[in-house]
Amino acid sequence: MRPVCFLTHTGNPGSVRRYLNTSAELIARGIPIGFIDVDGGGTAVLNQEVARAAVERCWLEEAFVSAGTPSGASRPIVPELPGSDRPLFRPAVGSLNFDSTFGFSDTLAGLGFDGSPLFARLLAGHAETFLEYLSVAREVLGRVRPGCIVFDLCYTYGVAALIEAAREAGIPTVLMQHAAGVNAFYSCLPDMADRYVAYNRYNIECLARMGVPPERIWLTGAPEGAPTARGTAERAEVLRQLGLPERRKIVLVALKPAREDFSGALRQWNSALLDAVEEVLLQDGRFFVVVRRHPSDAHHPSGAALPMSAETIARFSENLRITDAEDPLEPWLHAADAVITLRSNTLVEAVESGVQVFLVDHRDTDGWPDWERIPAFISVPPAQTREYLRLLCQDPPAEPRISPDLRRRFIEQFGLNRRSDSAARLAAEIAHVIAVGL
Amino acid sequence: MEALSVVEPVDALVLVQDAAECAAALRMLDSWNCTSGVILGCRAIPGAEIGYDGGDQRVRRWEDFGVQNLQISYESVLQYPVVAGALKRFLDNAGVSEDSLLRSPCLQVSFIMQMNTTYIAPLRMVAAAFHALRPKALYVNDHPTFTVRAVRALAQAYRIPVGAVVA
Repeated sequence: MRPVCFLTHTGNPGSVRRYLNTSAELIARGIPIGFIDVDGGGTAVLNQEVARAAVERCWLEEAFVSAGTPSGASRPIVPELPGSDRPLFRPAVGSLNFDSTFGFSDTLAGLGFDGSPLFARLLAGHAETFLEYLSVAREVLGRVRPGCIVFDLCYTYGVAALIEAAREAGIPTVLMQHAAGVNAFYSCLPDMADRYVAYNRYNIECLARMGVPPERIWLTGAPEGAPTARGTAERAEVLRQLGLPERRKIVLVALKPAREDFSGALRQWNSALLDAVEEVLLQDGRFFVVVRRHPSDAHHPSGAALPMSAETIARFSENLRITDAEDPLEPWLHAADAVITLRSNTLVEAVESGVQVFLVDHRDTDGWPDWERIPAFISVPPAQTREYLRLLCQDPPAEPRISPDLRRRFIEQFGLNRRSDSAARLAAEIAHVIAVGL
Repeated sequence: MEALSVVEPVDALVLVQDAAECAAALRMLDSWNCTSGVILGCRAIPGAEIGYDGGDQRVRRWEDFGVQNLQISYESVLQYPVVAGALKRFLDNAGVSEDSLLRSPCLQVSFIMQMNTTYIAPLRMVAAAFHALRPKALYVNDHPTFTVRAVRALAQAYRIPVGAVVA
């Protein structure tokens, strides 16, 4: 049986976990699996997740590590202007004004921007590099002879070259996106895979805008296993495992990335939220606060900094925990009575877990689904964060309740829709493609 | 995009390439008693390191005006169709045949994402920051960087006077 190859690049732990869950189902069907670490960034995370999941180590190809060219995602941005006889800009003097709203297409026209010199200067060199990668990709696929390739959206040289080589060899490609799946803005990208994995209706809508017809989409839910049962006994066990107190209200506070290569505004939002939490919840002995650092902070040196001062952490050591950035979210969600989050995919998983969710909404809607369409959470303007936290403090809590029907509709539209058989269903689809072709 | 931190028009936008030029820019603004000025690096964005740590609030970072890595990644995807269309026209005009590797969707997707990350998304964000800053004058010496060319062109398009950075 020809193997299934999963492509890892910068080592997104969420993708690797989904790959590993699907792998277990494929192996059970007698299909060998392996990983191709495209740009040398995924090996450490793969090893970590293999150890965490306690699964048998699968084989690993480190495809382009020796090729030397970094991925687009990690390339430092140094926009020195390439030499050219033709100017990039031929601005029409006075064509733009500050009275109007900024619009990029109008600005490009006003600047007289001409990308041709960039294309002329850069395309040949790019094609040369791509061919080097393609040569390695052909060699790897010729040796491994996979029956299918699974990847997530990150079109570096390595990923693109492997897809090209797969097309040449007639090897089917499957796109399984990390996080909550294909978002609206990914619809701007071309249709590059033979099959797409969707977790919800929203993913399907976005793929349709990309031009992908329904018959090429597998709606399986995210292959991460069924959510843990949330009965009283199970929760008590989770609290015990996490070392959290049983008789206090657990509030999970999920932060934005704090690493310095992301916007300083995100750190300010984190700080403002934590200030409010300290003022209202940490002073109240009925609450135990878990601060969840953003997973991407685990992959940048500046992300190691603690989000609160050492003095604050020491002062509230009896009712405060700060998680490791790499910790899986689910146990903390299971333990929580309420989740306070800034805009992130934590919101989706929190709604899906059935816990009360407060979104402190800075209106940073770029790239996020229009969750407000089905408001199965409480949206809090940042300036009113303290007021809403005080609602939580009332006994019984005075926050508005979310109806089960609203929650169900949100999950169908935006949720991960994890089911016990999601990985098995996805594995069955892949196995079918390997057996009979597209 | 996230809200920009400056909404009042600034008297002067100054682009500098290193600490020495930054010091000259500060002396220049001081000699005019100009407190409403913004000094930014021009060699690389975001995180244009100009080696200045003197604490003058007029020396800022592009990140303060929304130009940051996460946003560049987002804009790089968002602007894909614009660049894909321009690339197609370029290849058509150059008479590149349909079976050339340059027409491969895989080659193009990696090329366009590189182009967008390096040039198009930063241009989009620099232009938005320029629009938000609404500078009354631009001061910049002639450095062959994309940022300088773009901001000079913006100044022309907005009919904003351009001067050199002199102490």
